[in-house]
Amino acid sequence: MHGYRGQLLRVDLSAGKSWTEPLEESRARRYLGGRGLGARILMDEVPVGCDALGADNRLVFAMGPLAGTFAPGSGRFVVLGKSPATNGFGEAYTGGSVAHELKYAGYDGIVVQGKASEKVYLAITNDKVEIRPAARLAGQGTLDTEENIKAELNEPDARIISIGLAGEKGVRFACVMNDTDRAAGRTGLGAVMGAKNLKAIAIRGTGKVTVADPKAFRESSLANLAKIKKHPWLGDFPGSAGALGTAGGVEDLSSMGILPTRNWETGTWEYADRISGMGMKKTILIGHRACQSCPVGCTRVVQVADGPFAGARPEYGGPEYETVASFGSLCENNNIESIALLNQKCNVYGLDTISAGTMIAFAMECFEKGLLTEREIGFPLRWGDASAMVRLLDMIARREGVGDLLAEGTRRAAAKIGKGAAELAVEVKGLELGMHESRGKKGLALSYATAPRGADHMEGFHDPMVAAPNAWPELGIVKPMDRFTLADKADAVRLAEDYNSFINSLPICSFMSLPIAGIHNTKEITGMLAAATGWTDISFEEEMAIGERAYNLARAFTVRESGGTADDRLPAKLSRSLLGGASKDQVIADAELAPALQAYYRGRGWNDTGTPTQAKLASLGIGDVAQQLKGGSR
Amino acid sequence: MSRMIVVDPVKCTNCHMCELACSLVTTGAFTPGKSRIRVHAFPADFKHIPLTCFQCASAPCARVCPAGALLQGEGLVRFVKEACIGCRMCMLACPFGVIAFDEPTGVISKCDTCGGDPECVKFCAPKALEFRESGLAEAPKGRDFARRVADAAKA
Amino acid sequence: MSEKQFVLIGNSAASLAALEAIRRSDQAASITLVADEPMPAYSRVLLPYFVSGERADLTIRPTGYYQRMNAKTLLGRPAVRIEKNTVLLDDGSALAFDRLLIATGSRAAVPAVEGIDTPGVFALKSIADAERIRDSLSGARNAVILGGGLICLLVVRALHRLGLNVTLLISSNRVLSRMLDAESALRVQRQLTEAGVRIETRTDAARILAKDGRVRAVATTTGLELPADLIILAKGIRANTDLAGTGGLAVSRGVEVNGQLQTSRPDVYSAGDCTEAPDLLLPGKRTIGGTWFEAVWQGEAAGAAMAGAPQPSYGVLKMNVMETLGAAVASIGLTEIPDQDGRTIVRAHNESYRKLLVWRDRIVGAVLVGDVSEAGPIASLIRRGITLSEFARFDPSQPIRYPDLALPWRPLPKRNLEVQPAV
Repeated sequence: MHGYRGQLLRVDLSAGKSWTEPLEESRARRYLGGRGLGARILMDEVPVGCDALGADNRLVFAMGPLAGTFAPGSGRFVVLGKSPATNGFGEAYTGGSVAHELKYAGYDGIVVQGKASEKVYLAITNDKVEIRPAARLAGQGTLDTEENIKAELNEPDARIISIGLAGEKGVRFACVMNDTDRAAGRTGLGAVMGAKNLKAIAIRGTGKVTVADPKAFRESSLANLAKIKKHPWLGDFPGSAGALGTAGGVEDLSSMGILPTRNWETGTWEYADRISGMGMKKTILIGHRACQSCPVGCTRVVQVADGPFAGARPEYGGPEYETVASFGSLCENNNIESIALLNQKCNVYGLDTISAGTMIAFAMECFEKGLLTEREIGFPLRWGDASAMVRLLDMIARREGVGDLLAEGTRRAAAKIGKGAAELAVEVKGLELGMHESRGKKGLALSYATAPRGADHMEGFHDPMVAAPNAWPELGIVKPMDRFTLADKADAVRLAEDYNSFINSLPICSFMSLPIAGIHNTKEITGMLAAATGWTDISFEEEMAIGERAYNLARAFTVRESGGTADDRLPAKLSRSLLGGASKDQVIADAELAPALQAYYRGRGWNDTGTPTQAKLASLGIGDVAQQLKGGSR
Repeated sequence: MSRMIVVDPVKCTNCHMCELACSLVTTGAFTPGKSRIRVHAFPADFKHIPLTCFQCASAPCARVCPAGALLQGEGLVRFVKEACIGCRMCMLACPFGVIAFDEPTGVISKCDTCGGDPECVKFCAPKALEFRESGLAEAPKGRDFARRVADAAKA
Repeated sequence: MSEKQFVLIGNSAASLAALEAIRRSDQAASITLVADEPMPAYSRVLLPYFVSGERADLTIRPTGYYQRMNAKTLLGRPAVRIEKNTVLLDDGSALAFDRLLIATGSRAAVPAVEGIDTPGVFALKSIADAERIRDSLSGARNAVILGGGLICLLVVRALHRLGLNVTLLISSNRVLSRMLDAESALRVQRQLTEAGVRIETRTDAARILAKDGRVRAVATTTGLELPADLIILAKGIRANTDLAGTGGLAVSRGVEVNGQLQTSRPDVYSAGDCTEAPDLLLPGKRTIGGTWFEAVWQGEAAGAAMAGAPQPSYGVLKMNVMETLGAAVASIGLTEIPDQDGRTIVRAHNESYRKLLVWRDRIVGAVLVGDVSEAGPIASLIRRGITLSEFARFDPSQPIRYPDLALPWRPLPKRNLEVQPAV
């Protein structure tokens, strides 16, 4: 089979053994890789209602047919498992060099089950797989872990996936790190890895990835590359993702009133230019670099050698948009050097920067409102106090003092605090919102409410993208849509989600795809996939079906684990008026959301509580999944 | 004056697409270990340095080759595969370490600029690689490269 | 530019390199190239491949080379004497020179063993030698190689390819004892043994036994009698210094030269196997390079000096690389550290082995087995004499690539951020 290596690596940490499992072409074509492949494995193998931090959970690392090639944006993989944050479908995407390396080692993915009796790491060198003791790596940060393992294995070129202290301590928003500065950030899968006593996975591969039609593959890739280079945000232009990173648009967001600020109280902030891509460039930026096979290079590289927040080092990259917003505007912290430090600490500890920043903002508001006292915290926690933020972050990763409470995530922490703290927790299903203000781009609210992993900013679309006519003819989205309306967006959201879900099943970087960056390269992506795999008859329709299948699997998992109620609710704050700015007074009222949800469910072929129907699942060729859904065939 | 692959390490983003492009065109598969251009990364110093044959004007590899397999040409150190005995003397002579030994064939491999149309350059989005005229003779060429690397270290 | 008269004695690596170096800076000079052998230049490195039948054509310069270099040739005309500013050839003719290069090469060392002149005992230094060996191959089944030096491994490879049973007799306790450390030598030896080569260490030939006027066997100092249809001498080389001696030049084991490859007579230079030049690494010592590499580099240095092109002082850096049956082996510089002020850094990785010798803060030697891709940068590092403390980040235990040599690494702030909380 071309594109693929045709096998998955299976590891049972309880039994201390590993084996390979064939990945048949039929399975590959139905699920592709990434999300599709991983969601199917979770659905089949994770027992209903299992403890996300127990031995029964699975931890899946899924690549796809393009990893290992020069297909632009192909250096991606996805980590999946039942989420300890949401108790539903957990997944997180990451770049770097691991996806390529695992393919060269001979695998399309890794499925980890069981739990080791003591801390271990996995060492994979082509077909040699070892489970090795890792007690001495306990508590080590990402870079130390990587350097120690490389030295121990005498493999300077090994690529390493690891967790830091946060994952070991079971912080519910701990992430899985790789290549020092890359994070599979969301849904707390670092804690799943920690619960399995798996500190790291070291990979060295010297094999090869073949494609069915090298000439056609090269042509599609070059055509895609040419489009990327010409694209105003992806190409080499001032203000592009390469030049200014993902935080290049912070000032614009602020002027549109959709820069999450002061724990979602307002969407506009006077200090936006301090934390933006340009703000970074003027101060701490020393350059940028790229994941493997990425022509864009949005990764910031920063260095802060002195001052009160000294320490940011080039190995750990630099803050991207979500991070500058969560540790910046959301906490009203305008000190970019402190944001760089917080970002680096998150990379060292293995913490999701979105949830970590949100957690601190939540705690700040709790402090302001007297729900958390100086005595409980140990120091005053005022808006914008960067030093206090650094202290609190350390406490969360170590689960010290109030950090132990905050390590549980906003939903659980708010429940424990009580006294109405839940009103301040900005999450869906237990996952904190990405740094995107859906009151000022309301189509996103539908994805936030319904997405399998909770408040997910990478599933649907961001409304300004479709403000102009004929935005995405590929998806049949040609009518301009106002960012402040929610009605009539259900179909567009669903189509964007399905296409994103296809992209996430490849997986390639969302930035080099239609719904996230607005790049019209669907034909080139089809061409690359067809030439890589030899599936010359693959069509856009089949890709959408793959995406929809994967999306429904993920949704079904979340519905199954939540006991049949989808809990598609938005946080209370979004139903209150945004203060000030260009999106002033916007709200998402229940009266607006409810009909939109019903329209969305109908479009998806789900029942009126959002459970995929037997008919829908059967039409996607996954009818067996319906048996697992309580009342799923209603 | 003929063209050569000119490397600007300051622009390199460490994406490794050059290696993949090279391995596909020279081996028919994606296997960066076989690439004739390699990116050497020094993360602590934020440096990524692509290295390939500089086609030195008075190339040490060609000067020592005892088999007449490496020939100093105009702008290109030409490799005659059939003449190579696999002795690896060129590998010891090349200060850049850009000549590799290909175990399956028992001969060395090095950049031949894809016959004057290098694939790696086409895939280099940040333009760290350019195929253009360079009037530099061997020693200045090496010095110029070292200077640019040094500038990269200071930047 | 005045028309200088250059005379080069020799027609192999050193002489050709000198010829090309002279032409780089002097297009007008008259150059005459004189050699014992009648044929155009050929590669002695290829001789074992000629024996094995892998290569028929050993020439290393294209047809018309000498004309293009505008050099006169007197091939098959041994030079016999140096008298004042002339060289006398075997036919009594005299060649006047302004600058003379002696690149007379070396011959095989012949051990003092009874019967060593028996037909069937061969050196492998020339096409004539190689042809003689080829002629003796028909019906031959057993070969014994005397010596475990450089040439022996290539000969082993050739004879092994031809299907002969090969035995190595080695005086010391291992192969390549002058080139490799014990660990890597044993790796090589293991591979040879696995391929079916018999190796007798701490053993010398005591007597060559003959039958019908041809070799039949070798009697060893350890009491063995090894059948042999042919015997190859691989006990090192001896510099050809006869010509230099006639000119009254200072000669020890080789022709003595300074850092400009000048002999004791300023207008006479020497390069290649016949030459004892200052050692790059050991101050005050002179060394015979004895390798193809050294011949090329010395020839170039001599040529440049003869043509009056300024150049830094030359020093011999021994290096070699070969493929045995299975793995490549490279060695560069010293094989042991001269005194206490040093250390060795070993890196063994899968099938590869690498040892670096560090002496007085400089890398002075390296041995690589298997993957030799670092050898070029290491050789460059040694030749440039860079001290390790110049590089804040340089880690000799890690793979060494060119940028390690090019980057004046700026020290970064210490790693003060790695969080190490109590667990």
